[in-house]
This record gives sequence, C-alpha cells and structure tokens, in this order.
Amino acid sequence: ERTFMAAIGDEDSITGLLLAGIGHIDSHQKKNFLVVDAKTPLSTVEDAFQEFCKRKDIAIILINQHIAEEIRPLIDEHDQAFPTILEIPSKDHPYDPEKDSVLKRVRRLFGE
Amino acid sequence: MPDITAVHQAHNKVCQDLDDLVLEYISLVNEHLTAWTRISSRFQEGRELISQAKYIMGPKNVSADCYDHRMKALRGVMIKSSTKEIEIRDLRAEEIERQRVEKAREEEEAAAGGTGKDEEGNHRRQKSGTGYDDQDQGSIRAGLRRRGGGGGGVASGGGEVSDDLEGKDDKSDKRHESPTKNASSIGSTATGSTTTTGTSGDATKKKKERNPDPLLWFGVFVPASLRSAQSIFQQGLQDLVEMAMIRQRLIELEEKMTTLREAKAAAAAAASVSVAGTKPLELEADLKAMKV
Repeated sequence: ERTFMAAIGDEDSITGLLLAGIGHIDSHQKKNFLVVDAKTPLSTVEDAFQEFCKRKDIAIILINQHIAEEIRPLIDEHDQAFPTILEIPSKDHPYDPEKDSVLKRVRRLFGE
Repeated sequence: MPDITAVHQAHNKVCQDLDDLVLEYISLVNEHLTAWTRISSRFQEGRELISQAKYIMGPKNVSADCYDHRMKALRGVMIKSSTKEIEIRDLRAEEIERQRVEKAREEEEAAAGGTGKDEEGNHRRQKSGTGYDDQDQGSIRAGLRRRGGGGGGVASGGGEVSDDLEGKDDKSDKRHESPTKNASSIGSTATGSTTTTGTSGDATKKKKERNPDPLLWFGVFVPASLRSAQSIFQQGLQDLVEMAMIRQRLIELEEKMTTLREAKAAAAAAASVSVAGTKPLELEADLKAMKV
C-alpha cells in the first residue's frame, strides 16, 4: 500500500518536511528522504530517485525544482500515475515558469 | 443529405467536447499556479523560521546530523483506488488505535483464558503448533501468578501482581514482533505516558515511552521559531497533496484531449469526404437549408 511521501531536497526543505512528520526509516535503514547539498554527486540523486520510484510503499515524491532540473531526463521518463512526482520550490532559486514541468506539458499539448 | 448533417453534427459534438476539456484544463492550470504560489510562500516562511532557529541554536544543532535514525512516519497519504484521490493520513493515530485494539483483544483472551481452562490452552497450543502465541497467555499467566504469590519482592496483593504480570506479558509479546513494530510500540503514546512493568524485585516500575515528535530531535527546549516552522510545514503538506491531485487530473485531461483531437481529425476527414461526394446543386441546397 502506497503510504509514504519521499523527499529529495536541500537540508532546510528536508528538515521542514521531516518536522511535519513524513520521515521514515525502516528496519533495514532504508530512508524515504535524501538531503542534497553542493557536494552530493548526481549519481546519488539519480539512484535515490530511481529507488523511490521502484518502491511500492511510496505515493508521492517531493523534489526541489532546481534538483529536478538536474535529473530532468529521468523525471520525464517516469510515466506512471504513482508515485506522483511533485516539484517543490527551492530556497535560493525563485520560481521559474520556464522550468515548471506542468507548464512544459501545457506548451507541448498546445503545440508551442 | 442526412449523412452530411449527421457527419457535421458528430464533428460539432467532438469540437464542443474538446472545447469543454480545454476550458477545464486551463482552469486546472490556473489552480496549479495558485497552489504553487501558496506553497512557495509557505515554504519560504518555513525555511526562514528554520534559519532563525539555526541562528539561535547554532547551525550544527539544527541540521541533518540531528535526525533520529529510529524515525517513523507520523503522516502519510491514502490513495482511494476508485477515484484516485489522495488524502493525508495520520499514521501515528492509526498506530495508537491499532495497538489499543490489540491490547483489548489480548485482555479479552487473557480474561477468557484466565478462568483456569488449561486444557483448552493446551488444545489451542497443539492446534496452532507455535511455541508461543496469544492463546498461551492464560496458562502462562496462571503459572506466573502462582510464582509471584509464592516468591519474594511483590509488595502488595493480587491486583498489583496482575498489573505487573500484564505489563510483563505485554513486553514478552512485543519480543516476538519485528524491531520496527517494537520501535513504534515504544513510541506509541503522544507525550511520555507511562506503563507499569513488573520485575522480579519491584512492584511498580514506570517506563517512559519515547515521544516520536520530530521537534525533540533538536533538543527539549527548542525556540518558538522551530515550532512555528513545524506548524507551517504541516499545513504545507495539505497544499502538497492538493497540488498532487491537480497534477493527476491534468494528466488525465491531457489523455482525453489527445483522444478527442484524434476523433476530431477523423470527423473532419469524414465531413470533407461526405461534402466532396455530393453534387454541386445538392450541395447548394443543403447549405441553404442549413443556413435557414
């Protein structure tokens, strides 16, 4: 049963989401979150994203928009209804409608 | 003539349906942008409060190093299979309720087993084939009661002894559960509630259960800014779920619109074929009739 919300983001976003109570570490020490900073390799982010997509207990994956941009090909490949990928605002990166995946779909749909 | 009219009507209907879908789609996109703006401002406020807490407590004291590696999710989501709607679930409350129901069931079984029906207990034990299960509690409790009554260290009479035994049985039941379940059962109450457990020496020993509130990872006396940040991010979860549902709905509408566009193209092709196949005089008459 898809119950949990996973999160990939900067430390403050993850701290806030964990304070809200979504953090979970199971008996095998598998987490449903990943803190990404400047030193985090891209492969770590990709591996975490792919693992969250494969897990059957995760319903929603929250990811900062600027991190989602780095793994955009992987996100575009994901075409399943669940887990739902949701991009959330980043701390030092203001909202960019050009990068909003929903608006990209709108432009694609209307042929722009 | 009727064929042309029917084809044109079909084409018009497809166009109308497509227009309605497009309007709904644009309305949902507008809702998405509104939700995004709301989440942005809420998260920004939350992050500012966390930054304030870092300033007060020190950056190392509000960081990923402070996360409790025994954490369990307090909030999750539930997806309704029929409508694909997403709702927030209070996993903590569900766990507490589940443990309460289990405890009530165990107490009932203990009460039923504790009337001295050892034969039944043996029969159930043979039937289940397991070395230790809930049905054994009656006979075990009876044995422990005898041991507790004869041995030393029990301060008072039967009532307290049975409370101790009950606490002991609860502990021994949990021994056979998974470690995950143990951790959640330890943190099963909201604020440091106590259970009475019995040891061989003490009549009453209070055991404080771990409070699962994530705020406590950062210390007992946390600044108000961190509490406010927690409250804001909790409210933000509801906004995130709404945005997830909007996104799901947008994807559904995109698929419908793609299907309708193909139907529209097919209807337009059919309409043009039916018009091309009509004689010019008949076509003129048809057009006049349609204008009327």
